[in-house]
Amino acid sequence: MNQYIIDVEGLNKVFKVHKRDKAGLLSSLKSLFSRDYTLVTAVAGLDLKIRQGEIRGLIGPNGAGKSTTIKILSGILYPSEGKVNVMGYTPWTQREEYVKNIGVVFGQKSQLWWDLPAIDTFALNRQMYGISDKTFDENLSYFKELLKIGDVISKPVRQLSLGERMKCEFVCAMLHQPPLVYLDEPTIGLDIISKEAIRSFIKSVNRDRGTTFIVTTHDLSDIEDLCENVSIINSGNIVFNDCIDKLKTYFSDKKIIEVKFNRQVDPALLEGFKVISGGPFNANIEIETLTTSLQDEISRIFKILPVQDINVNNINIEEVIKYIYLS
Amino acid sequence: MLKLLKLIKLFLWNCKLDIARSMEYRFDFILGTVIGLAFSSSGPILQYLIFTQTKGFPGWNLEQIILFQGILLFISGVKTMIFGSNTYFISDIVRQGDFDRLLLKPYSPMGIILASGFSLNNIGALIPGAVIMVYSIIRMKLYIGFAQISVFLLAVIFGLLLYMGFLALYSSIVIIVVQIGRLDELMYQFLRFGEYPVSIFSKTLKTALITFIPFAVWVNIPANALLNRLDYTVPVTFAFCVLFFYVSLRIWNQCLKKYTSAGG
Repeated sequence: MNQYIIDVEGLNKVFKVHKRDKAGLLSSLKSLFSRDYTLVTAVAGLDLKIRQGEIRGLIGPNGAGKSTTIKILSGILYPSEGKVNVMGYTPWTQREEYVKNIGVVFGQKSQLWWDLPAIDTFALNRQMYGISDKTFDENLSYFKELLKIGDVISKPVRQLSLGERMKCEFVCAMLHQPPLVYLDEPTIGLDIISKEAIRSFIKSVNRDRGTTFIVTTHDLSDIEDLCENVSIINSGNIVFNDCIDKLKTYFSDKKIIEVKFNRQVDPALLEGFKVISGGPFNANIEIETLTTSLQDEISRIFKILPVQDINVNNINIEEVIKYIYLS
Repeated sequence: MLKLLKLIKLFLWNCKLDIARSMEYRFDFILGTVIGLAFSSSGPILQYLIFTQTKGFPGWNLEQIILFQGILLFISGVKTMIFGSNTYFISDIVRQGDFDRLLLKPYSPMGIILASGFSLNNIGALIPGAVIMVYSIIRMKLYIGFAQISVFLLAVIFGLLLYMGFLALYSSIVIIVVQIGRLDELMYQFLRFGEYPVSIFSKTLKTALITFIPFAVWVNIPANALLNRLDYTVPVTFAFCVLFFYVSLRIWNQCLKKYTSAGG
């Protein structure tokens, strides 16, 4: 059996987009009669393999091709080119059978009936996926317990908070026990308590049921908390594909020395250091460990500066990702 | 067949949910029903005025035209109650990118669209239509046997199939062009050709209305079935309804491949 639940090779998606160079009424009227189109490559020869039972983070800047990739993988869009094998299915040609085996949660879209309690949408999903009464009751009890939404599911959705609604969205997407779940920005707009509840839920389901999760997000704390492996997409292609620890030590030859001073320091004193940020009472100094000895640099800091406290850190993960995005 | 049964079950579920929603907003339901009744009654009243103030419709007397109008109201009620929300539903979900949701369900997306159109508020035309129809049958002492009822019911079924074909075509256009606000009005105006007796049109148009655009199936065939004056064209019209639906679905499937979703 293929050890990969998702196996993507040479995936391409090109959109034909109407292009308007100038703003204003004249340009709008002109576009009524003649239009220029441009071809936009959203996904450019992307390769991706994901193992069963993983929680994989998929991150990238806006417009990098994350959502398009997810939409192709979930059978929503036809690709322009490429091979995709998800659990033995080609999503866009075997869509009806395939989607019985996946769940999808969009952080910015809802599949719940707005005017009715979430339990009514759950019942509709039971009908749509042909879930047996026993499985439905067991799963609903499991999710209610895990997400603490016993009372919430009986209230009309329009009266729920965003956090409560998102919990119900998760239940809706997972009542049919899919082995693979796509989460598109699942914690967007949530407060820290709700975020933690959602993350803890994802980890529990992954652990208890072996469900594979693919998470796209801009919130790096989601990635750090949930994912062992992360794939970074930029300009429609994978530019980093490894474990999160590798990302944390991406710049292994660079360190940040965080220094707090016991009095205000004259900026002239810092001239011999590569200060990347700071103020009169603190400084973050970057050093290249290939060319400079860490020990020597720390000694120099103690000699020149009035040190109250000192820490040595790796380059911040956000900085690493920013660097990869911009490369 | 199994797929069709699944879709019928889904439709019934959507009906239940729509009824539950209508009961949540009772005032909206009552007002919507009353306004629906007022609007749908204006058509027959207008046609009655036209009939009585002009030479009438060739081949139809006043009582027959009242029966025709009753059937028109009844069929319109059935159509709008079953598929009333469809045009709004498809335009809304495609424009906002929510059409993705439908593609994530283990059904044909057109099946879900058609099964999501139930609107209890549109019951307004159905009830008076049924009352006028029964009243006319009694008043004209029409003989209604098994054959009449069968053809009447078949016409309703094939008529719904034809209407579904139009909804599939409408949805195909929406998928491609995304925003086209007046298209539904254009479609409904075009469909109004089916609201008049076929005998009032020219020979060419009459032929078209029983073949390529078989609008005769909606009111003309059921009315003629109850009046016991059917001819050989009925099966031809039924066959064209099936053909129209089939071609519309093929067009829909092609357009679906061009769906681009909305940005993330």
